[in-house]
Amino acid sequence: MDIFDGIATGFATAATAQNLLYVFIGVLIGTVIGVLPGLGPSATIALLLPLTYTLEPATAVIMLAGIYYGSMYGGTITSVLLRLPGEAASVVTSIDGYEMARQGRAGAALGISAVGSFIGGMVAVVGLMLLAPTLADIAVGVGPPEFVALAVLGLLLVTYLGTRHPFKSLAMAGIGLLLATVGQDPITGATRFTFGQLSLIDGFDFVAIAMGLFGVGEILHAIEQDQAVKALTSKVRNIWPTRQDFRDSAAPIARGSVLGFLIGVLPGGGGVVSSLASYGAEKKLSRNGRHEFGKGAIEGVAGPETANNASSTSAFVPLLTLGLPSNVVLALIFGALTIQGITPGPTLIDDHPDIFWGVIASMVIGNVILLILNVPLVGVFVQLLRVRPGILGAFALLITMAGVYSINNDLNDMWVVLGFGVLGWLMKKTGFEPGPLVLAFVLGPILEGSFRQSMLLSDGSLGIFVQRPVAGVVFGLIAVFLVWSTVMALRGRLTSGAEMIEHAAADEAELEALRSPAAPEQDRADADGGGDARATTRTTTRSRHEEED
Amino acid sequence: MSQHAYRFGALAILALGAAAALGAVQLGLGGLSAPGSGLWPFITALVIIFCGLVLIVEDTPDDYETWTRRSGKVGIAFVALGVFIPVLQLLGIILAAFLLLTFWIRFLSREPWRLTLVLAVAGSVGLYLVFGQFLEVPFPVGIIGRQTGLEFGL
Repeated sequence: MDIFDGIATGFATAATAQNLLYVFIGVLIGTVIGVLPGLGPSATIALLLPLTYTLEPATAVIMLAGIYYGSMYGGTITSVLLRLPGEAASVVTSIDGYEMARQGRAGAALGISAVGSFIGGMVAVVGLMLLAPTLADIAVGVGPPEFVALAVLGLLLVTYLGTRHPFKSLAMAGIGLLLATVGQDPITGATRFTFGQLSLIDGFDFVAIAMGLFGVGEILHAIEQDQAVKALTSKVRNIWPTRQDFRDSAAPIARGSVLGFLIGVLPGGGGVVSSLASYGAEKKLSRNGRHEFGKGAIEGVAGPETANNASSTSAFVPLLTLGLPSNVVLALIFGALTIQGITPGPTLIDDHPDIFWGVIASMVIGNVILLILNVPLVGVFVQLLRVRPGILGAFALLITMAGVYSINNDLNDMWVVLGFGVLGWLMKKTGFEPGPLVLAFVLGPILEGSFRQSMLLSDGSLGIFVQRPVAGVVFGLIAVFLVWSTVMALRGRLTSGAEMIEHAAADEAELEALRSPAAPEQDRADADGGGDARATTRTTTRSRHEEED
Repeated sequence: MSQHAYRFGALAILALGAAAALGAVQLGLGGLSAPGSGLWPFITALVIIFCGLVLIVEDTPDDYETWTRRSGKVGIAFVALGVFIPVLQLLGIILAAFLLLTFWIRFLSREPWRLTLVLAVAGSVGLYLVFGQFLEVPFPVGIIGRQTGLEFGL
């Protein structure tokens, strides 16, 4: 099937009444949770996993993908209006976006974000269409050692870039890998770590872990946070940017699209890294620009917002072509597919062209819907901020419980999810991010299988990981990365998300704008490249607001 | 001692890693050329142990959140969810959801009664319509449903 046939198949799939409905539901939920406090895209997707059982596989992924990129649009709204990043990828937007709002240009900031996100999303979809089939062709020839190398690289980057304490995250990733081994050994059939429990022979249930650790854990954590609601001060007028705004933003949007796409394709890529990179790049380039960054430069809104949406689209490339999820949100979507009995991988494009092309085509439709939703309806979404976290939490948990029950019609499943929920809450409270655990749990079987196959191929020689060119290069990168990070750690200069934000900030005043009394909290918010821990960011930023008021 | 309480995290990681390593050895490691069932779990256990050791040395208390009264609230919320499950069996989904929402919105979030009742009624009926009717989830039938034969979520 060539690309044009594929695109035709895709639109034929995406344009059915049911799929149109679900892409609409997905982007709408995405925008809403992007705005709402206390729920990020990964928690939401985890909570909705049981509902995808009843859907066609393509429909399920179309909806979940819509939630992911929809949240990128929604997160901007609170960043600009309240300087509360609705999700982590919008943290940098709050620097110049909020300044613009204070100058009465909130409408222009939101408008250019929507337009930029749309263009970024479209560029990434086109890139996905052109790149993914080629990559899938190449990926068919990729052997087990390469899979080991790529999976290890992805895990390391997610644990490292996402969190402020890499070793805590790495420990969580290790536990995720370990949990994935519970049950029957896929090769010998021996039972492992089941402690005689029959129910564990098939291993831990992915949905129970994801819903508990992310969904319930995050909601419990949000309940604990301050529940004060910040009143909206700036009015949204003139949502359509002026001609001058477009002229100023054109280049940042163009650069943001390309940068976001490229970063999204990499393992560990996705929202946060791309928006930080775009902000940094725009600031460097703007030295002679008309606007000063940190003082309401529209370039500092347009670039990062474009980049985060482009990267959340292109992050589907490794999942759809290699079967490797590059961040936690995509790990959840991987899980949704395996629930349906479909293992994403190089053959997905041939075995299930409706899923592959249908999801891509739905992104075009979803982005158009988002542009239509966002420009005129910003005012409606802003009203959602009046929903208090306590009420939101009550409803979200109730839906979770009903959803868990609906999987097997079994009350015991509710207890399991509740148990993992408390664990997730305790992990959040102690700084152990659940994100890497869930990602590792998904990657675990792939990693173990590929590792053992590699060992059989090479007759037990670890040299196979360095002698094959692709695996060798990736492991070389991993080695360089490990040495570099160890040296930095020893020198006490571990670069975490927070510091990347500090690097992105131009001066002290700008840094202050990003920081809060509990400054280190800030970077927890990017654990998944999609912002599962944004409740923390919100709260800290919020408490600073209250001090100002 | 309490200022060292945070070190419990690192010790827990270390203990888990050690237990996993022991379990993996019992499963049989095999060799690299013929990996046994325990080899891969053993490797992951080594990663966990390594992290545990590093954390003992360099973990700091500042990313451990303190326990506040609000943490107690989370405990109550959790107990409420635990109570919800048997209540669901006894009274059916609509009443159980109504009670949970009422308790939660009124007593945990401290919203006014009127808002609480509106939300609780709308939420519990809405939940039943979406899950019970639209998605056809067979929730357990409660006492009222059994007595009256009205099995619509009661």
